[in-house]
Amino acid sequence: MPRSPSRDLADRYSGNRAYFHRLDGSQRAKAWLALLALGAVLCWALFELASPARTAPMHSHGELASVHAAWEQDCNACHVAHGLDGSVFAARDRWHDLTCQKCHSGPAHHASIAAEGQAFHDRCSNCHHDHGGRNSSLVRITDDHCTRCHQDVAAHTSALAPVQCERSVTDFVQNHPEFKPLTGEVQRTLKFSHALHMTPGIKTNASAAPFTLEALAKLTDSATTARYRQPDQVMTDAVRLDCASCHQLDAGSAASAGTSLPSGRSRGDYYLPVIFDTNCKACHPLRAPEVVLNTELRAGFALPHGQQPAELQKFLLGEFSRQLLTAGQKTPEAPVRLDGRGEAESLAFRQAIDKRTRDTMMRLFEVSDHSGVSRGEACTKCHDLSGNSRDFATLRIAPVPPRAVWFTKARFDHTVHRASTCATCHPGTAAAFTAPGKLLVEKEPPQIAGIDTCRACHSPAGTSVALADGTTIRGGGVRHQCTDCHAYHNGDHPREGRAAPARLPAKPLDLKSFLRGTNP
Amino acid sequence: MLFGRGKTPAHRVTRLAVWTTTIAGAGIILAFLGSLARFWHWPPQSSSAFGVACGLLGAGIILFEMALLPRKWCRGWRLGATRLWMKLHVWLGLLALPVVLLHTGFHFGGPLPAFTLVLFLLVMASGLWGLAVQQWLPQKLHANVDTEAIASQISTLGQFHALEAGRLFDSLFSTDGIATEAARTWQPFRENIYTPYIQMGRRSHSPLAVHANAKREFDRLRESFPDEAATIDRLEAIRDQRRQWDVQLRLTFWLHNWLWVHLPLAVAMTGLMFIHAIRALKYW
Repeated sequence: MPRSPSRDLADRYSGNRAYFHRLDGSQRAKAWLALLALGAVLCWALFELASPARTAPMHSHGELASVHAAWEQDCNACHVAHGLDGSVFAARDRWHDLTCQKCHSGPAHHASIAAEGQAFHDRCSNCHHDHGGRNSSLVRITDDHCTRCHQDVAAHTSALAPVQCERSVTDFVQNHPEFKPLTGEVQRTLKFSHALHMTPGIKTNASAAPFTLEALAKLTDSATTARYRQPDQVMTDAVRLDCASCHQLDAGSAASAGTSLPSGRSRGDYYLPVIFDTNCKACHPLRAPEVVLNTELRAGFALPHGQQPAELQKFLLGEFSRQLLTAGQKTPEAPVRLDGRGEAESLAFRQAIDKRTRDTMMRLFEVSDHSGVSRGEACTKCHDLSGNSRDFATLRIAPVPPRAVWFTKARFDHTVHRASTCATCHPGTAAAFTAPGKLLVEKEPPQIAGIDTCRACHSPAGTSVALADGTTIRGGGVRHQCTDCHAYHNGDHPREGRAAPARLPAKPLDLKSFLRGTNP
Repeated sequence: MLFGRGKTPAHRVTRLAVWTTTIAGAGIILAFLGSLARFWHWPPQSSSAFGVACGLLGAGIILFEMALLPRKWCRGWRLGATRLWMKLHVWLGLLALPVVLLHTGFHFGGPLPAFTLVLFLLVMASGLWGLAVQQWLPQKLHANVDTEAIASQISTLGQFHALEAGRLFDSLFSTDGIATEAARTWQPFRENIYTPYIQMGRRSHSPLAVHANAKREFDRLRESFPDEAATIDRLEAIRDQRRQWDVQLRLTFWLHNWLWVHLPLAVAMTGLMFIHAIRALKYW
């Protein structure tokens, strides 16, 4: 008997019940993918727990600079380990708790820095930011690190200490003051005119006889004469100096041997100091005047440079004694006779020496008997004197300060600027006596152009920069950050470099400890 | 969940885009103004007090977002209206975007924080995509599918309809229990084309999936059985319903497939967020 359709409807449904409890294909895919993701994360978490050092770079926000690359996977090398103690909001402080001074010493900027600045200074990472990539610099930092204090120096200087620099500097182009050595009166103790020496023939008027190479050759040897001879010159030509005749970069070459590092090691930032023996002596030899001994004309002997008058006097006494002795005069050191008959000879000997010495000293220092003002032929041609001009024991040559570095609180690299002419930055050093009417200035001001000449290149591209001659020029866009010229640490001793004792680490590490970044 | 009261999908999707941009922009601008008032640095530093606060707020939001999952598992616990949960899920999710961006300081950071951030952005993007399709596809479903069924049961319903269609074909092909010549002709159509299509829909690769083919076949069937118009109309109606279910399945697939991305990535991102937070706050 066929089943009634109404029975189907009346029967209790026994088919696909509770289907809503079962996941369909889409839901299963979603659930499996979610479980897969959860499993992957749990695996990673286990790996983190098992090997925190190996996973540390995954959390680092950037590669370390190349100088610190050895400790890329070792947070302990630099960071002080910390737990969850303290506020979570102080996480930045904890991460910036570093141990830089294991390897570096960071002497203070200035002793006069205020307490707040000192606290800022004590945290190295306030200025030196690592994790910026292999090629990042830890010392080339943005200006705001410096202007934080230098926008108001007085507020950041200890109340007891005087403010030694411009009170507010925020930008090299906008408000950096003129370089200090160029602002005040420079006490020159050396007479030297670039304008004269750069004039061919080294003469102050056109009618004067030029100083020729032939004349030079009589004063010095052939090799030195050749050094000052230009390729297109013959011996009868006037001596024609250029900047390189006296100024040479510290290139570690033979020419600078003894004054620079071995060949190939010199950075060449600065010019070697101009020293008498190397750069002046060829044209200005120091010799004692000729003397007549026993009717024989004796040539003057060479005098040492760098001696004070009293020292030179002793040298002359010795040299003249030697000359007299070699000329046959009786020695005063002969045994003393008890009858006193040798005293006259001894006295004559001493008088002869003293006379020659005094004459020579007078001539060297050319002291007027009345005024005591030096007119100068030899020493006083270039040097200032002080003391009693009639008493050689008290006479002093004014010391010549070292001028190889004028800007002691900044660094400058002459080598990278050598594409421009010297006169670009050193105006007034060109030949000046080629036409009449020029006044000889023996004590020149510093022949260094001011800050505006620097700004012509070192300013944002397109900036209008006013030059000293009244013209304006568009800025070259070359970098002009504080750290491009200035260093920070050990600022009270600006002439000291990175090798200064104040910068040495307290306790150097052996190789293994160094690579571990930890003390043994 | 419909976003706003716009009547057209375009209006609602536009509204969603505007709100997303507005919340993100407003959050960042407010933080920038705070930096001008010297409350914090700009750009924010992740490990500063403000950065950590943003990180903790972002983590809290993310944990709440993830709480939607246990909320679904425990429907019987009466943990608040689903609609409210979804509203909070969406609005707090939108708020999380500027909060997390401020926490990052607009930097990716290290590999793991960067990966976590990328996952977060992908979760945000997939969530926004999901919300956008929900503004559009349900309306399209309502318009195109008259006989909407429970999507997961469509294959079961197809089996029921195949049984009904089998009975209809039996009655069509036999007259007093004797198979006619026409029935023998149309038997392959029943077995190879019609029944597979009713059971499996488009996956059967039946020509009936194409409306023109179906119409042509049913016209021919009517010519073969001119007296059985009512039965054939019912067979055609069953086929048309199956076609609508195919459309429904396709729309449902797009309505929910974003969750294949959204949920797994959210799970991974939450896990990595914990690892990142622990390593960042506790260095050992």
